[in-house]
Amino acid sequence: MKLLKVAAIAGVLTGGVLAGQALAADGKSAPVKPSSKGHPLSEIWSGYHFAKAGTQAMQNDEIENPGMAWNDIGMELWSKVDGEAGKACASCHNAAEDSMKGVGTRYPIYYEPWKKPITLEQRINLCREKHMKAKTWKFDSNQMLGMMIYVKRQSIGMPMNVKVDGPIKPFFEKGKAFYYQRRGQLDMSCAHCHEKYFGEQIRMNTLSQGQSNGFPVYRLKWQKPGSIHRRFKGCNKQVRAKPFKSGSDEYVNLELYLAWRGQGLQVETPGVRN
Amino acid sequence: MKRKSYLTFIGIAGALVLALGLTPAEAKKSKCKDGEVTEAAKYSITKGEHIDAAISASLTGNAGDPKKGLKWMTHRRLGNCIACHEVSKILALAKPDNVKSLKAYGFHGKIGPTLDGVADRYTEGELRMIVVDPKKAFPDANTIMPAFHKNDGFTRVHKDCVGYVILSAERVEDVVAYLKTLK
Repeated sequence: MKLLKVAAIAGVLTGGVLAGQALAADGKSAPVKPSSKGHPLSEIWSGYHFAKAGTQAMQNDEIENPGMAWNDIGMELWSKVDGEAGKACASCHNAAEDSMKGVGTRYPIYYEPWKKPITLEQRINLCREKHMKAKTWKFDSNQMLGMMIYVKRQSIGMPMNVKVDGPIKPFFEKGKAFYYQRRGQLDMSCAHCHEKYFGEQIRMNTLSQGQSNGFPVYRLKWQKPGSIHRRFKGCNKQVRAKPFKSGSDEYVNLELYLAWRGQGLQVETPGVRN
Repeated sequence: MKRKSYLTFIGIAGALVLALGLTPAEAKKSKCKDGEVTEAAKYSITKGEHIDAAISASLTGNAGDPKKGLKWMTHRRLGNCIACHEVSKILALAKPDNVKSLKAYGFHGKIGPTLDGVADRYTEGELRMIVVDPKKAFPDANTIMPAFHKNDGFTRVHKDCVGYVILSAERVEDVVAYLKTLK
């Protein structure tokens, strides 16, 4: 009888440990294994994994996380009437906790009227222009950053899962080509730092895999949150290449490809990074 | 500070800012146009001993200055070699109690191989080729290392750097002279 008891306890403990390990594959403490065939990475890590402990702690605490101030901006704007149609986001979408759940895991998506993919920022601007008859917001305006953080945060902890087949496929391929293209006077591609050498040091900086699951991130360097397109511009300038504009086809395609590379990583918006 | 003197201070500070044109935009330096050059020296490539390509002749016709070579190798906007390569001789210059020396000589990257003993592994001509254009020195490696003496043939260069080389011919020779001391 005693042996049975011991065996039972051992079984529960093992099961608990295994379950814990399965839950921990969030790209933070344990890597995500890609499900797509031919994915270039065998292990997918969030930028969180490469950040210092202090930075991680800042992200984890809702009160300490500096990006959360913009979450509050987004929350306020959600219910605020804006534009000539006299509507707020809430007028059509009601409670964001319900209507926006999962949205942050899917973008960029194919938009039939434009016959190309659009980012979540562009979708928000479409809603504002068409349905609210309100002015559009720039990608890195406080309003857009606030709304993006608030909306994406409704998917916090959910795995990234963008669709890359069907009519969106050619744009995915363009994004992929961009990722592997050398550019700038330094003649480097995204892949050189983020695929070949992630985890290694360039002077004091540890290279990450360059994933997008935390965006818009609060970057300590910027002392404010920023869009993924802002980060693309910074990266391009760092290799002494001419950047593209926010919302450009090149960056939208790249964002799509990057979201695919980060499949299975949890939405961490607003992430806190260097 | 008393309110009146505080306001005076603000007023003077503001006037200074305007007078000296100390705007944040001007504080940012161009990545290439601060005394850099656009001329790329012509050179011939010959077969190396250890690798397929080498540039046996000095780009300037003279030997470089290794002291200056050390300077370019640790300069963040120029060679910045220690961003990716560990060099024990340079690390030794970073004194733990001297923040300035730590910033200048410390914290080497590990992207590329260490440069310790590099002068034993490659000839002078091979070192020159690697610094000038590592894609020609290691054509099959898909190397991340930039070409330090090349001014065209790139994709979409930033407007600050169009037509510029990272290191002038003179500076390449200085770096080669320093690398030759790494035995």
